Amino acid sequence: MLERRVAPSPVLAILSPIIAVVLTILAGFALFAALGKDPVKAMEIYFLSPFADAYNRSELLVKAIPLALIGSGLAICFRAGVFNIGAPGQYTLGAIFAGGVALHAPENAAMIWLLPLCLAAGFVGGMLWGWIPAILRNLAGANVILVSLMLTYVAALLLDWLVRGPWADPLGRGFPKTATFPDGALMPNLLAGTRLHWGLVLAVIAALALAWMLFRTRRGFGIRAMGLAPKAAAFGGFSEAKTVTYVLLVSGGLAGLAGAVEATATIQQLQPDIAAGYGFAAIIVAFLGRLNPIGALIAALALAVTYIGGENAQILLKLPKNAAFVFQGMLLFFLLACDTLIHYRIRLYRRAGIA
Amino acid sequence: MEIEKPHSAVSISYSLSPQERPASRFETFQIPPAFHAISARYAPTPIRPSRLLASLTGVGRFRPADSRRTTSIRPRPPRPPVRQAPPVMTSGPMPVVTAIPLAAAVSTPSVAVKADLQSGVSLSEPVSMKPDLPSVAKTPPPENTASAPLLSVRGVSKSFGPVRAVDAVSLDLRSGEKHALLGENGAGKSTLVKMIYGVLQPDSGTISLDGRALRIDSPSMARRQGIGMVFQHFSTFEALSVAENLAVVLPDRSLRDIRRDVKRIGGEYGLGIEPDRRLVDLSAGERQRVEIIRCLLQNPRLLIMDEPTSVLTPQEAEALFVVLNRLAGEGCAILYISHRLEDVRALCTSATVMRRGKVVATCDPREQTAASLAKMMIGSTVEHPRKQAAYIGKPLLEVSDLSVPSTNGMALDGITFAARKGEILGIAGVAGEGQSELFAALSGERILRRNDTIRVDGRAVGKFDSTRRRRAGMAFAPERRIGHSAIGDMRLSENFRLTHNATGIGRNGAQQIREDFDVRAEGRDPFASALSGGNLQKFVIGREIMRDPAVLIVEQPTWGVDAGAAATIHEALMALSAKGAAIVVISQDLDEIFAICDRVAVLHRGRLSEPQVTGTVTAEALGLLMGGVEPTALAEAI
Repeated sequence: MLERRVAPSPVLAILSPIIAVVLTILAGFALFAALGKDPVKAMEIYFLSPFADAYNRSELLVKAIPLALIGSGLAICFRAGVFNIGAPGQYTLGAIFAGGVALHAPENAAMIWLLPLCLAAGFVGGMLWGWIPAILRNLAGANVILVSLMLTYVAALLLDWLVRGPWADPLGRGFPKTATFPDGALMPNLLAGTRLHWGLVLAVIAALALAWMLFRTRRGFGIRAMGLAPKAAAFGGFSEAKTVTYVLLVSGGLAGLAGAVEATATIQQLQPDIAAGYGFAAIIVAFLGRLNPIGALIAALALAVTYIGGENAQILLKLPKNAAFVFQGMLLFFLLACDTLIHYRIRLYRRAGIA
Repeated sequence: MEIEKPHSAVSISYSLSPQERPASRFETFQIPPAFHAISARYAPTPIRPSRLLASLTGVGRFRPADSRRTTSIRPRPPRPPVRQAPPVMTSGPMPVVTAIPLAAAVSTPSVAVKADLQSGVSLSEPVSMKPDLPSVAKTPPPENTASAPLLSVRGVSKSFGPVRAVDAVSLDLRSGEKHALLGENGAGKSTLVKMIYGVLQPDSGTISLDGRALRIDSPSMARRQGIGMVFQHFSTFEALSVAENLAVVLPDRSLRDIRRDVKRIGGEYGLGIEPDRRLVDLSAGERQRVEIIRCLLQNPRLLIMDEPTSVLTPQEAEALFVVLNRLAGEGCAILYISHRLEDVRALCTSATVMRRGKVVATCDPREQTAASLAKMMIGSTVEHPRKQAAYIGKPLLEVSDLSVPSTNGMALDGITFAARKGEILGIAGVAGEGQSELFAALSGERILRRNDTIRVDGRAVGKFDSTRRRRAGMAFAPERRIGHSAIGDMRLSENFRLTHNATGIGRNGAQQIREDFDVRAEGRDPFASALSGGNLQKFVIGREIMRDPAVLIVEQPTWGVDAGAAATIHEALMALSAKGAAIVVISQDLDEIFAICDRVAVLHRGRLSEPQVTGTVTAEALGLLMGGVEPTALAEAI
């Protein structure tokens, strides 16, 4: 059983993510050795190749953008003690809303407004999807975790129906996808010759704005207070229902924005698979970043390494793509284990009196 | 003292102890059976006589008026063992050894074992040892504990960073001894007992049980050694029921057994509590009963009590003393931590006084006065605040017909009162009679349906939330500090913001409070959890007073707070009222109410009695109100 430690070490609490990364690497060694691959070589591909050249580095950032957008939103959500794990659904809705605007824009509309409109629509779409669990919780006491998670599947099926039915590309020869978005709805590149786009700027701005909100404003104070002591937060005049709604709207909106960014920048159309898995990986990002929006930026890069490294390993070592997800899972596991063991210690319990 | 009215069929007699305890406390209360009839006839709500008497006599039964004992101690035969030993199968008759956990019985022959052997209490099922256990367990240990101390602490020290919290402290405790550990908050009492209970490890020095030096590295080990502790801040699972909470620490027992034992012990000791109620619904006083029952279920031979009476009424405290005296009579040693000097003088036979981590005196508290004990504790005499004659003006807070339906607690029923400018109004009552519900309704944590139920200086605020009520000139300080009035994991500056975020006063308010209210803590901006109870409470009260409120609602302002901090808080409250604020003090501490309040009303079962001037009402009359007797019935009775 677990016993609470009297005085958790503050140094270890800060080092916990680093310890978790080291443990993940060690476990990776064992994993690759077991698969019959050279662990040193595999590690090199996993953790060094993403930094090897300009292309890999830009791809790293491309992967980190949606992770950072979603992760920083989830960070404030988790701070409030609201466990929104429906980010993939909010992400999907964001992509759907952005795609809807892009596909239905009149041909001769002022092109300069189309992209901002798409992104705004994506934000609103994510907010709506995040709002549902908030409403159900506040009115009926529904569990946020369950409702937000289940809405993920609803969103995925909605997208699937749209791209096969009403929004299917008339020239797509029956493939489940929409037409490519018009040029005005496409996110411009930041660096020529790479796929790196302006979403990076959005992610950094979002993280900075959230950090400012969380640590410098009254609302952010209420969010932190509610996560630490709900009764004290209510005593301080912060409505629990309003705070829950607010954090779900913000984190949903940011997930939706991430979906809109991905749809307009890297995918450029809607299809059944729009990499909604970012929404789950972003949970790891939020925790790895210590539930701090700025920390989430850094953590998003770390997670992106496992994506790029995994892709490279797939190409060079013929490793299954899922190995990257195993890495992500191990990382979250070790992180939570480290956090737990910093605050608790294990005690093997033997019942007294029974020899 | 005896009050009798010849025309009435009822006489109430009570007597004060020889130590001349203040009039605000009861000693024994003897009520003849005819009282049943009175209470049944006049009480507006049906009162269960058992409940009434339990709260009046404190023991769940009453004595005939002629047995005029001045204390409630009754010699009783040792109670049969509560523990149920798991039967271990062997053959052949074995000496009777009660169900001390085997490890304890082997390493430390205990008093409880002997007591049972002497009194010839036999177990229904002889418990025997596993063959490979040392033979010492099979024979009763030699009779030597009368001289050897049960617990011996020698030169124990503990430092936290640069702070030496406990400095070379020594202490002896014998079986059946009731030993007080006195000291201000921060004197090192809690640190010392945490080391005895295995929560902390000493840096140096030894702790011995039965003359054997031990390393107690966890509370569960302490429990196996027969050490029980009732904490000041209870460590319970809020979402679980009473019985489930106990099951967590007693993994060997079934829930059904525990339920039965809770009822039995509750009846036996007057600690009545429904085993299926959830902890979240219990008041502080009721939670303490659960903690005490938890310890009693484990048959302790050393029971540590950390500030036990701070949440209890005189009657409840009296009931607790009966329990403790009985346990001591059965051979259990009591280590009683308190700064309630009167309690210590009434209960304890020896005392160790600590100041700044060191033992500064040992004495027999019965031979001391409260003032001399206080002097030892804080190094200078305590100045008792005395209520100043304040100008009392127009009503600033008016509550009319406040009724709130029950949500797992006590419903409020037609509460009506007014607190006037310059007045401190006390609301007395036994734990769990609606105090927390009343506080929530006044603070806006529970928003009311009708706006004019509560008026602040004429302005209706019933539908306002806490923030808008604060803007209307109200301030609040609830009973629980960590997790309600303050957040342990936030710094003082952030805790300052907790109630100032809507009204906005300068950023350095926290620093100002620390200076004005002598809030002692390490560091420039420490976490609230790093402050001792008294210092945090001074901070909380200071934070609310700094808002310069027209109306201040405080619940248990000096619960678990040392004498010096309590005096500071009382003075601050009186100064605020003298400046023209109306203050409502919801408190279970009658001493506190008589010390600072101008008028007092009693909360019982969600109803509030008519406020009376504290100068003219007696503690006894209040006690009856707290027991649910209406003033009319009281007048009839006297």
